[in-house]
Amino acid sequence: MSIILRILPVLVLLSGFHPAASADHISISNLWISEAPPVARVHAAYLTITNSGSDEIVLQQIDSPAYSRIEIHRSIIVNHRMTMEAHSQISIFPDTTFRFSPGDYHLMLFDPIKPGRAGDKINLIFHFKDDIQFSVSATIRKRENMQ
Amino acid sequence: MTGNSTIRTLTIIITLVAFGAGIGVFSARQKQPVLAPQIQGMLWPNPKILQDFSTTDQNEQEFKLSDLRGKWSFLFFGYTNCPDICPITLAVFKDVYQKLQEQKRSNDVQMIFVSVDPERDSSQQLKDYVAYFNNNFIGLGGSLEQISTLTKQMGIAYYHEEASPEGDYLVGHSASVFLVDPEGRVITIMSAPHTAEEIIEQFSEIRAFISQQTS
Ligand SMILES: [Cu+2]
Repeated sequence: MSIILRILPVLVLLSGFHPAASADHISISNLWISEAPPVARVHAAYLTITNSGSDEIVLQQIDSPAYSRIEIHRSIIVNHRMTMEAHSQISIFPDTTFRFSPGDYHLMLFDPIKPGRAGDKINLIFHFKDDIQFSVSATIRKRENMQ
Repeated sequence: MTGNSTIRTLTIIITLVAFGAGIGVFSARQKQPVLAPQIQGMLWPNPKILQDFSTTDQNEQEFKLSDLRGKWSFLFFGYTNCPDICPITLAVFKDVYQKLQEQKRSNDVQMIFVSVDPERDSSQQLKDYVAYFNNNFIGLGGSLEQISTLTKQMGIAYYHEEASPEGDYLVGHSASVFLVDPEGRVITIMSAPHTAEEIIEQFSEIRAFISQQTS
C-alpha cells in the first residue's frame, strides 16, 4: 500500500504531459513574452520547464532570430533595492518543474528586431546540455495585474 | 499626635488620588487624535518634507516641487531598459489609475515614473514609454545631477552596474512606491510586491486620515 502511494505521483508525472515542446524527458510550456512599450530595448519572457527524466538537465543557452541575444536573469530585492542577477545556466533536478515568472526568474531578450504586439508569435531556441535543443514558439501577451 | 498623623496620611492619599486622576486625564487627551492607519511603510507622524528639486519631464519641461503641490503623487523609480520589475509596477500603476478614474477620484492624482538612468532615457524615450501605460503618466529625467536633487531627498539609492561586453548595464534601484501628499510630504513608502487593490485601499485610508489632520 505504502509503496503504491509512493510510486503513484511518479506515474502521474510521467504519463500526464502533453508538452508544447519535448525531448522525451524535457518539456517547455506556458512560454510567453510580455508586450512592452514600443521603445523598450529589452523584453522579458516567462515559461515553465519540467524535467520528467531521471537525470538532471541543464539549460545553457537560448537564442532567437528576433533578438540580438538572450540572458537568463532573476529579479531580486536586496535591502529594498531591486536588481537582476544573471545566471549562466539553470540546472533542473529529476522530477522537478522550474518556473520563470514575473518578478523572479525571466529570460531577458535584448534588442528586438521589431516591437511586437500582443498575439504575435516569436520562435526561441533552447539549448540544453548534451546537445539537446528545440525551438518553441512564444506568444506575445499583455501583462495583467501583477504579471 | 495621632490626629496630626491621620491628617498627614489623608493629605498624602488625596494627593496621590489627584495625581492618578491627572495621569488619567492626560492619557485620555493623548488618545484623542485619530490614529494613523496601520499601514506598513507609513511615515506619519514624521513624513519626509520635500525641498525643491529640478527634473525634466517627458515634454522637456522643468518639473519641480511646485508640480507636486495640490496633487497626490505616486512615484516609482526605474529605467526603461528594465524588463521585469519596472513594467510590472507600471502595469499596476495603470490599473490603480484606471480604477481611480472609474471612481472619479483621479483628478488630483498623478502617477510618476522617475528614471534613474537618465543618460539612456531621453525625454522622448520616457514620453513613449510612459504613454504606453497611460497618456496621463509623467516620466521624469534630466541629467544625473538633476535626478539626484530628488532621489537624494527621498533616500533612493541606486547604482549602475558594470557594463557587459555589448555595452549594456543594469541599474539597481528602489522597488518601493512612494506616495507624496498635496503638501509635498512623503507620507508612505510601499514595499514591493504591489497590487492595485492594495494600493487603492491604502491610498483611501491615508487620504481620509490626512484630511482629518488638516481640517
Ligand atoms: Cu533581466
